[in-house]
Amino acid sequence: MKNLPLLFCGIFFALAFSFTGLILSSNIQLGSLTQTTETEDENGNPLEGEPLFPMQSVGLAQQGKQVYIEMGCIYCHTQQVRRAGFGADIDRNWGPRQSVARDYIMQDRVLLGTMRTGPDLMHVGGRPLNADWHHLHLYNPQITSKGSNMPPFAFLYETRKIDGEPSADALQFPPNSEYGPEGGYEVVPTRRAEALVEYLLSLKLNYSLPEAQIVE
Amino acid sequence: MSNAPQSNSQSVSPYSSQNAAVRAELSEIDASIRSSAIFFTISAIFWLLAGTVFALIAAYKAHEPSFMGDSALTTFGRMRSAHLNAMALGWGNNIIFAVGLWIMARLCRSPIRHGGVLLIAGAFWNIGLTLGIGGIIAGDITSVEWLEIPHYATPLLAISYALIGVWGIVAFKFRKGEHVYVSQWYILAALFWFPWLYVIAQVMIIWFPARGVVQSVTNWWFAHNVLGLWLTPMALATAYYLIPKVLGRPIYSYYLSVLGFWALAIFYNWAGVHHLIGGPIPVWLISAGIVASVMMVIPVIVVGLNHHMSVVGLHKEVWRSPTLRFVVFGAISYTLVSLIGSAMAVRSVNEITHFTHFTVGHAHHGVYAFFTMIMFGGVYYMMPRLLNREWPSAPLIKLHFWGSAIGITVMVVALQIGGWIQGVEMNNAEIPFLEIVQNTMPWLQARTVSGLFLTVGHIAFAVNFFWMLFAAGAVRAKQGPTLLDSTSKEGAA
Amino acid sequence: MDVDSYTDLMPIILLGVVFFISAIGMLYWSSKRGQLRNFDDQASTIFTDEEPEGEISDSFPSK
Repeated sequence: MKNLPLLFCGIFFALAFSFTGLILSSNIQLGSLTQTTETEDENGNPLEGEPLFPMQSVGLAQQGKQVYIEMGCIYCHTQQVRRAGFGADIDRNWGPRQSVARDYIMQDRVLLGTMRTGPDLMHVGGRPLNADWHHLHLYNPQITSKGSNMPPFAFLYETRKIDGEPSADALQFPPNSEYGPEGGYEVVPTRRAEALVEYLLSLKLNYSLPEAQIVE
Repeated sequence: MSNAPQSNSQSVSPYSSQNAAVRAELSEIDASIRSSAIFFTISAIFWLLAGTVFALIAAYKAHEPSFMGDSALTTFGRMRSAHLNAMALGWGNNIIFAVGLWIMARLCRSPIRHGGVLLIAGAFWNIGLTLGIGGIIAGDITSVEWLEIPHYATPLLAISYALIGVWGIVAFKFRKGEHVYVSQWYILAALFWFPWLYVIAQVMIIWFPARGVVQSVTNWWFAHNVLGLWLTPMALATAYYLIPKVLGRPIYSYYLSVLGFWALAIFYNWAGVHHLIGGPIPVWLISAGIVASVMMVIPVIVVGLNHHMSVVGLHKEVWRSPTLRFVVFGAISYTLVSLIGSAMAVRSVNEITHFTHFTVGHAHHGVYAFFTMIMFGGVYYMMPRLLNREWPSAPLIKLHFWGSAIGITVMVVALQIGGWIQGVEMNNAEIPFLEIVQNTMPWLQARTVSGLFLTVGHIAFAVNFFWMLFAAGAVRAKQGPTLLDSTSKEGAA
Repeated sequence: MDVDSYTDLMPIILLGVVFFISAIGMLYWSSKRGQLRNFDDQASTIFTDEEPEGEISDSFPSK
């Protein structure tokens, strides 16, 4: 095979084949997915008057997603729940059901991730962890999760002298914590930290979809 | 380690032909591509060293998370991404532009035209990449795997790439003679495939985001093909050229190489979806990816067999050649890493290895033990012919080889054992997550140690290279464009 | 759209069939044009008078 056009045709078709097979066809199959209600009528249409899922993430949470992206959280945390029986995602309470394609349609940037140095975060907002816990954990993971290898994000917080009354949103360190500030000082979240925690709390897989029902 | 050149020197002398006119052809081609090849090699080595620094920081942070933890600039996600891009696009692409294009020029048997285009493109490539990696560290990282470079730097990369790709295809078009060697197919194909992949991925993920997980499918179609349709063909092209060339014996079977090429071209580009096994995409897509990944066994066995049969009976000669020592290490790694990769795509194995350090180990096995080792071999062969000089130090070459070989072996073994344990434990919901994290620590520490070995190797390589480059005349060859060993110096062995 | 419906993929499947047929066509064409003959000759095109077949062209530097 010494003929350039011939060789080139082969080279072109080899990649064109997978491009149409994987990219174009998944775009045809998934590109027109829309929001829908938890159950649909017999014609496969959303029910009138019921809320549509997945919901659009808004406001501070949306800004928090940007912080999540800038900090490269995706390199240690996934956002996908595998089905029961394949891995232990559901047994670990990472989500009440498997995640499906429709769960991601409202996202401009999909952060599925491929690495679980840390746990999955698809449903982290649905776990019994409040904003205080998240702030302490982000400030220094050793406070809440001794032995974790997650890096501290203390640079998203501001340590400042208490001026009169302590701030209401100052971090509540456990008594005698070695990570707390010196006496007379407090640690308060910056707006970016607030946004990031808001985003984490907004990550919930607490709704059913016609193709993925939550079974109690 | 008795690897000093021995009494085979008689047969080693590369220039038996005394006919200067005949000899001139290759030298002329080498001279025509000299400046751009040297420019790209220097850039590649700088990126290799920068990438090594990023790697050491990231590896150390994985078990000492508070190390350099006071700044957002050096947080794990950014260091690790800076490392990946410095290595893949900085080291990988620059060294491909050096070694791959040099091989292309030689095989086209025609001095290259418009070498200046390559220099301009190379300058833009490295400026774009510096901007991009600076952007990653500054926080403009996209958090799309293998596409972390922020949007303001990618057009620069795309333009400079296009110049280089077009140059390669034009060089092929104006080749002398009818014959085409298998390396040229691989290089030609890769030069064409990479921009297609890159542009589609940029458009569908960054510029005009596709809906939902279509992005993820595109992402992994691209990311796996960077390995499969860019780094792999370039490394295979180099191996296909250097193994027979150094040994002075044609490749075992040209038929097999043809089969291997087309099987790779057809199967590899479907394989990427195996990164989404168990994920929220249609099962048929994943199944297609798994089938393709398993089918990759065919080209891998074919290529492995072909390389093995070409070397058989000449193992001593391989060991005595710095080039082949690296290239054959890489070729063996290709067979190993690809077979492991095919196995990892099987659902029951993937259930364990997915989301763990096993995959990280596998990635380094492919990009370092296979691709990078072959490219090191390529540089060891190319530079003496471009500069008309010998490598100044044999001990440094050996130090490089052993640093790299030991380092990467330790890394792959540690991450894959540690990753496997991690995966098994993660699938058992009884085991608390923090306990799993603790159990990976020794393996992550072993990775940092392996990184030190690699660093030693890279420094030896860089020192030897710049010594050779700047010690003008000191070790200039006395005859012909290359002189790696001559009978007159036999006493030194 | 129903995720489990594959009828939308018909154009792609047809395209696949077209690809396949053209691949066969190209192979047929190339074999007729003699592109597939004398493969093994091409394996020795990497050797030149300068770096000929039968000679090892690389070893450790002598110092």
